[in-house]
Amino acid sequence: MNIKLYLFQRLYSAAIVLIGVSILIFIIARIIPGDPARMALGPTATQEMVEQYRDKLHLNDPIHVQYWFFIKGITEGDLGESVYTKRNVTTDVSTYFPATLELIIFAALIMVCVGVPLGILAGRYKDKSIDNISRLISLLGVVTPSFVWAVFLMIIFAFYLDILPVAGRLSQDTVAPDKITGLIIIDSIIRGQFDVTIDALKHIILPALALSLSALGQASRLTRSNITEVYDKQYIEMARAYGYNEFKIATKYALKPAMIPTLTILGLDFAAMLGNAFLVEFVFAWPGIAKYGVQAILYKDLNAITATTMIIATFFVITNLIVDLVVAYLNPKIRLSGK
Amino acid sequence: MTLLSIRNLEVQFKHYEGVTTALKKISLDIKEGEKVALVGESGSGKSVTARMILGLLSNSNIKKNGEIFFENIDLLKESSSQIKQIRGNKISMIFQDPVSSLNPYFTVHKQMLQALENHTKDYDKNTIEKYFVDLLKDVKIEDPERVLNSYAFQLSGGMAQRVMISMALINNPKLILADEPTTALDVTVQKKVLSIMKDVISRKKMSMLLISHNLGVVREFADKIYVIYQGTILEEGSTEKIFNSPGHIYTQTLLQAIPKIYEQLINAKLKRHQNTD
Repeated sequence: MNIKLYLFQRLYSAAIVLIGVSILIFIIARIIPGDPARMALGPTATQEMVEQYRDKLHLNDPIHVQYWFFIKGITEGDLGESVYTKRNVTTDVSTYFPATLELIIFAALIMVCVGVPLGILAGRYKDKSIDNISRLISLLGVVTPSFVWAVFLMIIFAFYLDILPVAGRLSQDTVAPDKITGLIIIDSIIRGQFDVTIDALKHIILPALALSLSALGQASRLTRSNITEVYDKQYIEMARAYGYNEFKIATKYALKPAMIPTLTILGLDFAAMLGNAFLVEFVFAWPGIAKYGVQAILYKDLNAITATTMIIATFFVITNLIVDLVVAYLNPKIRLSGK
Repeated sequence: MTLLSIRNLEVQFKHYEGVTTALKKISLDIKEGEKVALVGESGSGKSVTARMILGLLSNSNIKKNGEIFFENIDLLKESSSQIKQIRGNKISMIFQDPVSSLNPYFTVHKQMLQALENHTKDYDKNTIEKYFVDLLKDVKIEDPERVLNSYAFQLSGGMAQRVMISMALINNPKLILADEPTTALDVTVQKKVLSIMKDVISRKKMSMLLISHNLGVVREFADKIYVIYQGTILEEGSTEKIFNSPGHIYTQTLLQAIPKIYEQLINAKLKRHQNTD
């Protein structure tokens, strides 16, 4: 199959998904009971003020007209005003999204760097003690909710051992570097402020670990089952019969076939973290988009709800697209089909 | 001179229900340049024998006794790193299902290169391409360049098995073990692959252990035949002797199991004649 055609098809279906999600979330946000204008202005506001505010938010127009305003806003980069923070949602999102992005990238790094090797070891030494230990770790990771891990880690590392900070992205007396990407660790490295990098790293370890543990368990279990399956294949025996060493078999010869199906799921896990980060963000007072989104729902902050959902959906679609392209590239059966 | 000598090899598998004896003190000899066949039905212990030679069945649930001498060293007593030096180098193996023996995610070229690199570190990078092409030409592959850059799923079964044969030849082994090399191929391809294999092995003066259940295949190929049944060698002898005067009743039954295609063809033709008359 032609890779350009493939990309075009995927982009096309991605666009349809995003339009569908936008319509759906737009309608759902508006049928939740409660008047956003009244909630924003509080109980002391007069009916007149509320009506005025509803007019400003276009809430008195029919829903398709509202949707039209929304789409028009998106094309101009304006997502409307948040009734809760009273700032433009675009501003809010651009502050909160990088915080969560940084968090989940870190969590994903832990997931891949620990989960995958753990799975390889378990699959290679199936039913040996190392497999049992790895399976226990994975199971604990999968069954324990991330906020429990968050509290646990906080108690151990921030309270008893007192070696890591308890909340936020940076210490109070540390000034964040001027924004380039919004990811503090990367920005501080670019600007050469390495003390800030270290401070930011200290802050991110615990929330990232708490967030990653369940995904890590998943990753390890998935890798294990795929590796075990591959180890039963004839080409592994053939590799042994031709004098390959076991390390090379595990890290290359068996890993590639096993990782291709694993990658798709890992990509989805990574994207799902964006929404799942809420509880961890809450426990660690992490100023991220997931927390912002939940607050938006609680305050019926229509523009913020739509924006957060759209961002999560877009992120999902993009991650999925990238993973599919990587898989298509790695798997010769897909890459060469139709040639 | 004897290249490989199996002496009183006994192999037992331990499992939940007890112990299964796969091989009962078998002995087998292969001389240099000799093509030996091990014939028997499925479950008789043929494949286990081949895998024991290369140490491919190393598991705590396997009990083994006896000796396997190869160039006067006992393979059963060698360390695993030493066995690795022999695998694919002095002894190489051809498996039953060629398409699934090749890793589907690496090109033929990459796998041939790896098979070489496992044993030879200093090779000339400029001539290696030509060496592979020559090896593929040896097994009568007409477009070796295309095959080198192909993946297993792009090759037909016969093609893939020929690739496997040339891969077995890469390090100029002394002995090639072929475990049912033509069973997964369809009949018309079988004969071709077999004659290619016989030709190339005779030319390079290598020894071979051919494992098969198919006496028809064995007859065309082997100098010497061992008949194995339920882990015991029942009869051994030159191909001529086994086919002309089989000693053991089991061998006689095996010979009777070869379909008499000519007789059937003639009978069918006769019938057709009678019907038209």
